[in-house]
Amino acid sequence: MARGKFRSGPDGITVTLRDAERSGLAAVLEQFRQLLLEGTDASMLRFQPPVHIHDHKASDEFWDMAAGPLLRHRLEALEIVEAGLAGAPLDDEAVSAWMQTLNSLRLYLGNTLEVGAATFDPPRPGDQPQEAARYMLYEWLGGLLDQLVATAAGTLPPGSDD
Amino acid sequence: MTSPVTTPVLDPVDETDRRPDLPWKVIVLDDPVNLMSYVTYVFRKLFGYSQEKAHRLMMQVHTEGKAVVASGQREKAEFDVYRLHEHGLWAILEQD
Repeated sequence: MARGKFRSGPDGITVTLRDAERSGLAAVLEQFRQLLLEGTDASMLRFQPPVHIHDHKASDEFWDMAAGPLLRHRLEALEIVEAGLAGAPLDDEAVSAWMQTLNSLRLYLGNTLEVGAATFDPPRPGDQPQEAARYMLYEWLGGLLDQLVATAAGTLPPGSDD
Repeated sequence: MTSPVTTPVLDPVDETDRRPDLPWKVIVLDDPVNLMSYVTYVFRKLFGYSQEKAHRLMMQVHTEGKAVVASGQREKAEFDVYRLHEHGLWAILEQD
């Protein structure tokens, strides 16, 4: 089954990007790697929110244990996406890596653009060219992720209602 | 998934009332960024839910701001929360 840029086949899911898309995504991935490693950008706080709403100590203890492994996981996933840009079929692990990385990029961009704010208006290229470019990237990543989800959903078992 | 990111207002918990035998709930909070299709997919993949159940839970998150997606002993619940954060969903823990 083919969904936009993704096609499911016997060897896995293949992704076909145009050259400009591939090089653009590669550049964005490198920037995101630096953000992950620096960990100082305020919008990165979304990746480590409270998990015990009423118990900050328990939340801190959770992230003391989880932050390192999660960072390593995100960096490994990013490398898998970079390796897959050439178009080799994606196995289950690579599909997960692509989904998680595309979603992480959207989370970062969405938080910097404050898309959840009640006053949010999509930025216009004439008024806010930098924000508008970020928003276009955010929307493009959303389309890509949605296509991958639609392609991969067909490979999941039926599941249970319990 | 269109609400702004805010710290959710949940019922206060008296820490002294925690009982180790009570199960922990894994709760997913609404997020304005995550795609509905992606959230549904993650519920199916991580918990083995049917498309119908995963979609129902996703809609509960979207319309009510949160949904209990799993429950169990603390260690298992914390692992589920970790896996949900791996996928970019905002999950929290609460004890029954």
